[in-house]
Amino acid sequence: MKNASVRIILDDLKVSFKFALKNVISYILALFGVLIISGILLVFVAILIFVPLIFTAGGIEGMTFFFESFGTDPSAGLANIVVGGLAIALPLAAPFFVAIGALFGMGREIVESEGTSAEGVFTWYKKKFFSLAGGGLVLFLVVLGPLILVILGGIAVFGIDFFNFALISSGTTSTMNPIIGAVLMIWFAVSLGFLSMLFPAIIDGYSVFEATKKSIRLSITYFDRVFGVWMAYLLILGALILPFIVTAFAMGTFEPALILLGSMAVPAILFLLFVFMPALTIGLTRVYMILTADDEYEEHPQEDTSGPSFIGGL
Amino acid sequence: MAGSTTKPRVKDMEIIEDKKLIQLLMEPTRAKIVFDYLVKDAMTVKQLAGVTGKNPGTILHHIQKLKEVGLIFEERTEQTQTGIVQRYYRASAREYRMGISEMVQATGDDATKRLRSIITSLSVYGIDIPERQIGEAVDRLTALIDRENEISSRNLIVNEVELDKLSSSERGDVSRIIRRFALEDDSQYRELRDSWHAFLRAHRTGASNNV
Repeated sequence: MKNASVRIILDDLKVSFKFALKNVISYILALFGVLIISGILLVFVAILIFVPLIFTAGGIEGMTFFFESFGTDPSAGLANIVVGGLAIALPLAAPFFVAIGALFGMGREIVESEGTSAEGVFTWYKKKFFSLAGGGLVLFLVVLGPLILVILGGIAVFGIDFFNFALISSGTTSTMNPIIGAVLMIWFAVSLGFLSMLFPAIIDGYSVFEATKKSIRLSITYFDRVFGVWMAYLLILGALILPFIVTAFAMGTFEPALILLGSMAVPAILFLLFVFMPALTIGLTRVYMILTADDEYEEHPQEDTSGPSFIGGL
Repeated sequence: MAGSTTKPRVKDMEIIEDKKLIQLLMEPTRAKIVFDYLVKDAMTVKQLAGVTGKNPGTILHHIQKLKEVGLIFEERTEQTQTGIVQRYYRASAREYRMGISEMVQATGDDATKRLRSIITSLSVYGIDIPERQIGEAVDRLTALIDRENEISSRNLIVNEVELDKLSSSERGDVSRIIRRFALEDDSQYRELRDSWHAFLRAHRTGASNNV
């Protein structure tokens, strides 16, 4: 039941997409609602960050000068820029982390009771706000943290020339080195895979720290099941993203096959947002619940309610 | 916590004395979930949603709160034909009582009003307690119930495995016999009970003498 096989992974996918489609209206409404709330919170957080900055830097011009100075002042230090950038970016991203986490809450409702409602997402958003934001922060730091460190380390050792390793320039354009691109993709897939049970565990009531530990532990103990289902979702994601890549190449060409594939970009993004995303949250939550189920349950005699009591209550 | 490997044993009776727990159980849906359903049997979120008429999301939030404070636990998990993964939740005890003193502290006027109302309502049985003595009656009753709770919450079971094998009606009867015996065996309880009964007798009107 807990270990993976092709049939089990296919079943996981089938059940998650079936429930995502069954609850598609709730998810569409919830996604719109939660994006509006996140947008409002984003504005609020931005005001909290930038208004004091405007006053301390001496108006908008002062703030513009402040940010521009990072580009020209060699004493600013790359580490300061990165830390400063993260300090601004993370609070701004937090509402969206919570939004994603709240979708896992809806997923939990579906997995446990077959149904959910659009307003359910707001309850999760409100009740688990800080835990989900913390979970998002962990995801951000674990997935992007090492990348930032590598960039900082590379620049410290090789200087700005470090980017020449990462990018291949041809004429006026630069593309990412395919080896680095592949390594990055593997890193994203593996690190996100290890943290794929993070949000389901937070929704289950664990603290961010405990949920992180639980996610990593489950991913190691049940590597085949967790990574099997995670990779399956990544493959579907890749198939959904393909039309966008093709669209870029199809522009200016009149290859019918490319145009046909490119024209699928709009339905693909709708499917990605309103079916794939919910299915992913449902599927991962379901796998989490199966993996955390207690196998050592011993059947106790059923509580029979029949039969009168001879002895009266106290 | 979910997924916990050490599953608590369902206790025969539990006295709730923690103010936070009492406040938590003041919410009617939560009280209904625990006292009406999960003390009797393990149930899923879907089943609880069905019997309470609330949506599953609301029930799930209540379940999580109750689980956090240890009033309920996950008994087992089952997968259905449709693919959902149902968790069965169960109360940590078959019977709960709330500590009166703690309930008064936790709910303030509400518990006091309820106690006063109970005393006043004794009039339907021919026991009329005048307004100026209601405070005294509340104190006597509180002391009696507190002592009763203290004794009843002691674990008197010597063979828990065998107890689990009994049917629920047998278990209930056996439990009541022993708890009654334990109460009668306690001199402080007997003293409080006698004093309370004497107080009631002193306020019994003529009507009840016909019974």
